[in-house]
Amino acid sequence: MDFELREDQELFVRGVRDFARGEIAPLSTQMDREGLIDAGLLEKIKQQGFFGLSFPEEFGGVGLDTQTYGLVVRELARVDAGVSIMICVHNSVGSFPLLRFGSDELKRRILPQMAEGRIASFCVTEPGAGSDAANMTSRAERVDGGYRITGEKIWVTNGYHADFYVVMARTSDDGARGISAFLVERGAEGLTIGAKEDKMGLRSSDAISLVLDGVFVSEENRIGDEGIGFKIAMSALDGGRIGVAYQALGIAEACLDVGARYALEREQFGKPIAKLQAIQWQLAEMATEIEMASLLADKAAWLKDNDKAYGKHAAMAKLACSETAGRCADKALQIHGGYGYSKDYDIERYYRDVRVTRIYEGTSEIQKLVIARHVLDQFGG
Amino acid sequence: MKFELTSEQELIRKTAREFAEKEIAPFAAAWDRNEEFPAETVKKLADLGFMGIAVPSEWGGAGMDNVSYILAIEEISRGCGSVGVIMSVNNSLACWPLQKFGTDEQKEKWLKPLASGQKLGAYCLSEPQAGTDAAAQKTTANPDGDGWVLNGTKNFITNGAHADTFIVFAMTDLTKGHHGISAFVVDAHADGIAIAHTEHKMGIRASDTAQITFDDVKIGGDQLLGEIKDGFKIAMQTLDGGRIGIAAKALGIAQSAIDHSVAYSKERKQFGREIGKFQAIQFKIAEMAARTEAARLLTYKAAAVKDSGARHSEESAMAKLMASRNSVFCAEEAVQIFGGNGYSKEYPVEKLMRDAKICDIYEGTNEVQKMVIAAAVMA
Repeated sequence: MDFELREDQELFVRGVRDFARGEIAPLSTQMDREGLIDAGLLEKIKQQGFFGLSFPEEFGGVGLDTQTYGLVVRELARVDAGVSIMICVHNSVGSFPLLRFGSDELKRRILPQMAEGRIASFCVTEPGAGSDAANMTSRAERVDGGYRITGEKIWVTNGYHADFYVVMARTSDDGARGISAFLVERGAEGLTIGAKEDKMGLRSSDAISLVLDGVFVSEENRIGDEGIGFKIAMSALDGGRIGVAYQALGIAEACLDVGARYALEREQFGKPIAKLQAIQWQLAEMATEIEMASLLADKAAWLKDNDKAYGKHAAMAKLACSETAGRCADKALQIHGGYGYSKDYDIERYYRDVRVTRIYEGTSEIQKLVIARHVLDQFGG
Repeated sequence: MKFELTSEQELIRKTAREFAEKEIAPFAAAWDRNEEFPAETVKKLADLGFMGIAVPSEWGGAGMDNVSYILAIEEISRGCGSVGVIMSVNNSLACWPLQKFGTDEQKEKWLKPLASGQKLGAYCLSEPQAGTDAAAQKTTANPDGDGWVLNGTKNFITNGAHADTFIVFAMTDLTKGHHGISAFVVDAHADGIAIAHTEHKMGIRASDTAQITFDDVKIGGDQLLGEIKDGFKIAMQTLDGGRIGIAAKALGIAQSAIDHSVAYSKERKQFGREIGKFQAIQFKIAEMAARTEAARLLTYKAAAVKDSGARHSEESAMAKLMASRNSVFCAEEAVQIFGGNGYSKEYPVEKLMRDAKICDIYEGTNEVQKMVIAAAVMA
């Protein structure tokens, strides 16, 4: 076992850290207030190649391994969780279905565009199908040369900016085996991009609803065979969860950063509050939990990078990292006292941002279902 | 021991519940979005006698007991936590110290309008550098003829920008630490008082929170509350009562989280049935209900001990600690039960989560409550 980062990882992550602090951090408060990413920043993110991080070099991407990619997500989330999820969704669930299941023609046509910054999104959730994704009702009817998709998708992260929508829709009534995956391009006739959700946090990232009214998709734009859409979605989410785990870790670290810094600055009872055991213990618990959770995330990434089964560890990492991050935000806000409740301090935003990490790409309850299934399988259950 | 309420207590709970359902809950989301102080609603609360519930009727109050007061705060906060705290601050932190430590003249002049709700009160203890360490006061009150001159800055003052009357703590003897603090009752509109700014907060956004500066504010000798240098004792005893109010506010938020969770889990279907049929959800709701009931009993007990006239620092601190933690727990669980919808402002639970967290902080952080409890237990 080896717990060190490689030199190239260190270097890459340092570059991202500088970019995040120099270019993203100054805009975070404004983006939180306005509920949208800054247009100039989005351009810079494209230019810097963030939208090609996980894409193989043959498609014009950076070709990062999962762990390095995770560390990048963590650095971004340490500054702005919304920006980090935008990049995450694009690099994982928005593009993985194509990369792993798409035809060579589709990959050659689309992936280079995505890698250079035409944004991808992932459309599974519907008003009546959240945790129960297999119960979706959007339908893709066979027509000459392809399909016509009709239905409604919600909570589509990146949907406001996206050029590509990976859409899961029903091609038969056979439950989870009746779902297929399609690539829908922006501007398609019958595709309506709905209003942005007004969210508690993560406001620099957009989530929209999508209405598809007989949207034509060519045969070539189907991703994988008919009927494997649910499998594609679940395997995309296995990877996506590793990204969300690192995102949560980044928020947790940001909480520890501001908590420790504030504790050293703030004086009460004639000394910095960092001298009080009550505060020290909060910091100690945060640091220990972050360390445990990050080892789980690193292991999940290592399994994926080494072509080993990683579904169980991705779920464990996402569960542990998001729950840890929630506790860290609560503790760090508490250390700030009344100031932590004010929008003048970053911790107020972290507290709101972190909450969704326990919800999206599978709630904590779904992660527990996944983990339990793996555990019971081992015992023949 | 007995656990039933008197018919009078039942009545006030029912009145508060109906008021919250009709006059508060439907408007809470808009107040939150616009950071709007619900001035009209506060007037209606005054008409119900809710701005001075436990103040004797001869001083303008409703003349009820503290258990009744707590029941009202709980029900009102079930509609909106901001309204609960506006009420709690007026009742506990403005009226009570006047009732307990004021002279009859002071009660006539200052308490009557507050308890009847004609005027609104605020409590000015915290300063930028004196939060949990409340004794580190820098605001001064220097003798000036028959009266005093106040100078200093007070921070995080709930109701600050809307209040007519302030209870102000200031040093009358800088050499004596917390033994040098005195309490005053001050007209909020007096010359030299300014609202430096109001806070933009994560939650309880309908409640205003202001930083207030006192610049050579001249007050009369008859505005000293209690004995000189008794200020810290007055402040702490006042907070003993205030904390029961905050605990009740936290109970209201927790109950609202349970109400919404139950309704949603009976309505929302996944995997072919209502999510309320799943143990994962049932157990969350069971845990929320059990913890809320435990916190409620602690809170009612603290109010009952206060009604008995006994000291209640420890009971109040326990109630506030457990009820505030529980409100955060329940609000977080409600968001989780709502899933993605819980994160959206279209549904009511994300506001509950933002409103709950301050219960852990104001009128003494949870850490302060633990200091109080430990001191009592270890004494």
